[in-house]
Amino acid sequence: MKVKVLFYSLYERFWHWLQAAAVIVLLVTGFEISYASYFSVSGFKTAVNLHNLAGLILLVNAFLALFYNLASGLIQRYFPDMNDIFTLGFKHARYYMLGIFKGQSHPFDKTPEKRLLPLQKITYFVVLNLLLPIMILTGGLKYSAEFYPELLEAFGGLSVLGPIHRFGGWLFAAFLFLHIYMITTGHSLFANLISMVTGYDTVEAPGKEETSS
Amino acid sequence: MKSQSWFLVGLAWLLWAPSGTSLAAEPGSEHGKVPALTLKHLKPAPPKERPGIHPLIRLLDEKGASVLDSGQPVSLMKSCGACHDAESIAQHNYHAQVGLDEFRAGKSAGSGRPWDQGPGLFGRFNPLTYRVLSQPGDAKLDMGTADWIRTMGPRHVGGGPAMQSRYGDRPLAEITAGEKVDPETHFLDPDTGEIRAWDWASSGGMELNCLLCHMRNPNNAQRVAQTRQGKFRWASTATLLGTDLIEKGPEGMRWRAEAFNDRGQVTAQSMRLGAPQSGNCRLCHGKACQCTDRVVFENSLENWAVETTGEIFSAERMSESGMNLEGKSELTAAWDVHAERMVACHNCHYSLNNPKYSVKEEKKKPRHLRFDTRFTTTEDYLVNPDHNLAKGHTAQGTVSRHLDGTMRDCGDCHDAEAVHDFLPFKKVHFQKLSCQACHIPQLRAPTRMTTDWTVISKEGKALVRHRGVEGTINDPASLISGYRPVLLLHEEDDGSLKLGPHNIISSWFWVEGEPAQPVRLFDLRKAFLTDQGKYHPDVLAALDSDGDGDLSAGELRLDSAQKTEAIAARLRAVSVKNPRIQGEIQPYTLSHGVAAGEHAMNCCKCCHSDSSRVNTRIELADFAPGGALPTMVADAKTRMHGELIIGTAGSPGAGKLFFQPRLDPEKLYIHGTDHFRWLDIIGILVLLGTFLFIFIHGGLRIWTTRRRRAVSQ
Repeated sequence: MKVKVLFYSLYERFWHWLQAAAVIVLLVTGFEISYASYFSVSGFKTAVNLHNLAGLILLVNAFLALFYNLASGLIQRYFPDMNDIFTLGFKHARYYMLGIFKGQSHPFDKTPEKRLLPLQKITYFVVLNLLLPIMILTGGLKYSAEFYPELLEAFGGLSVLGPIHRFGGWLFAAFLFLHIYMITTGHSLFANLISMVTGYDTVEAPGKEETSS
Repeated sequence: MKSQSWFLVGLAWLLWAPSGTSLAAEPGSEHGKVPALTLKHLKPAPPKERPGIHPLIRLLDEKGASVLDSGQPVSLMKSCGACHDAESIAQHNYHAQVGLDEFRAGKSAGSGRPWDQGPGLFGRFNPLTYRVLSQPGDAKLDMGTADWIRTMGPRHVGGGPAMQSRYGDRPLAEITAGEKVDPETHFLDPDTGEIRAWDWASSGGMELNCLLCHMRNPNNAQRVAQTRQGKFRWASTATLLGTDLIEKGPEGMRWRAEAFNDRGQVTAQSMRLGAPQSGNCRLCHGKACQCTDRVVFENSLENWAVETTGEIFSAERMSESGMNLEGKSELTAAWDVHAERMVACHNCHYSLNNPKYSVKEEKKKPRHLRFDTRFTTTEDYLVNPDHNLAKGHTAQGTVSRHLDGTMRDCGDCHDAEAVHDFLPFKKVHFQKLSCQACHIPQLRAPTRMTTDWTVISKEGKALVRHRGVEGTINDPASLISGYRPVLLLHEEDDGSLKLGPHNIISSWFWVEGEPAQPVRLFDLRKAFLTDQGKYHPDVLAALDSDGDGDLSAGELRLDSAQKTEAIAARLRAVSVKNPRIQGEIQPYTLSHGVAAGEHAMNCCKCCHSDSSRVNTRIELADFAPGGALPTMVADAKTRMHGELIIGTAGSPGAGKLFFQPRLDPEKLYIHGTDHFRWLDIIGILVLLGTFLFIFIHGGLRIWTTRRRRAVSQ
């Protein structure tokens, strides 16, 4: 029997969409700042100001989420174990490489408690623990040039941090597009998207009643 | 309501009443009326005649006798020196010393030229004026000290090397020529090439001319005439021509006794004495305008600032100037906003111990002192005003580098951070850019681009090219477009580098011998021209491509090895040893011609884009004479961060020489301009790889889904 289950609380959804908006603004404005000769949406000055604002939102939002996940203990679900990385990860990848084309059912049952699948865990672990901190650190240091130029210089100056930040932007863009595509690999094309909007997803959950927030 | 209407009617009448309409009849005035006051008549009030507070002055000659008694030229060192410490003023005065106090006889200076002996006008070669100050022991005498005064004196205030021996032992006027040729006692006759002794006793030295700066409307033309004629002792006196004190007759200048009191004294007013005005500075630095007339300028070395930088320090709006400027009607800004706001030269370039401008000194006092009582008093200042004027730090201001940055700079008057709200990351911008980088976005006057002494005109002059003008320079019909200065990294007082606007002048000239020395102008003329003033047949044979027996400006160019060798052969024929062409670049830092905020460069993409101002190339020359690429002088404290390139065939700048700035991102990383190409390529590949994966994976999903559906059906 299929039931509707609450996967994402209101805060989690708000957090996700706010972060998504911030990342999109950061990518668009970052691209405009870096390639001003070829790409213009808001104008250079507005792009700089929006980039700074979106960066600040992303930073605050990231720290709030960290606090939320630490306080609630939910942070554990973001840590892949060896089983996730190798056995389950391989099984998961195999599904995307073969099973999905054969119409096989998803190898893992997604539940609110285990909402992150093995490959998702690995990807988010890298993004949240490596890419995002690098972007926040390099972006923050670049921003600090206005107030603590010596701090910026201590980390190699703009000539070092600028290219790292820009390359990170490319990786984030790749992640974003891949993420959007992977949304479509749910039990229906828009199931994952709808669940991130409404909070609910339909799953096979014997014995579990529909819950509401 | 009614009273308002009456007020408006009254105001309208006041504004537009025809002149002559009486406001009030005054007995005795013409037609019983006084002219009406209308806005048409409102002008700046004439300066008030203030009662003079300067004591009466006894004009003395160099022996200390009254000029009225002796009939001799005035000695300002003696006359002014009766109260002011004239000796000290002349000594601590880089306008007078022009490098004499930094002179290193027989040793090369910081410029990197082996023939330079100092950083100033006296001892540092300038290809614009060309002639070289000779040193004792030089194989050939070019410019001795007397010739230096005659050549450079028109732009020198006197004193320093025009009064004192370069060896520091005695005044020039006491030197007598010996048998041995010495640049201090001998000179080169430009017509015959003969080396003759100079009669210092007759010419005298050229004293520091206090009047040139402290007199309203000094007679500079007469001063220059006396200087060029070698009558150095009379130069200061000639400056007074036009006052009631002196007149010029067939037998020379004569003091007018009726202008003196019975004790042989004159008033300061009769000498038109006062604090220096911008007009005084213009006499040497660029006589673009007097600010009461329309701006009309000529490019020449007599108009130094315009010629070298294109800077015009005037309050007039460009649209109202007398010049044929491109887009003139829209140029509603003043030539310089500081001039427009009535800032004068001395407001920034003040005497360093002027108590009024003790801001800089205040900053230097020990931190534990709230007040330093040892600051100069007004009395001390009046007796011994420091004439080392506060100076900035420019590429071309090589003299007295120890005083660089002493002047009141932008930040001493303006709080840039209080404004510039449109600018993100203000401090970063202010740290990397000089204020002038944005506030001197374009110079509207033509300026010199190239000086080519590898060939000479029939007048014996270099071939000169200007930037910023379409047509012949100084032709009123030529359209003046001006130019956008190139942004170069210039060293600040604290050693940091900031991007600032510059003009670049490239020069080419022949050098000979080892160590190298520029070929004398006399030898150049001898090589190129015959005694009749025509081009030498060998020169014609090499350069006269149209065979008309004369050389046009287009033919006067050494753009092939054959032409270069032909001229080198001519030079060898007139005893020039091992002639070869040398090119050099002198940047000129721009500091005047400042635009107010609304006319400054304030578009982000002007710098943050691929077509960034920072990386915009600037033309240096039509071609590189003799194929010699120029190198920058070593004492400019400016970095030519980039490369010289020659325009490729088929491009609009084919054959031309350009400087292409390439800012090292490690020194200054500019968003939107600097790209680490390989990093961008990897980033693009990652993104394209992602798209490719999505395309293939998604496509396969669609295809297999459809296939399964078809099979199941």
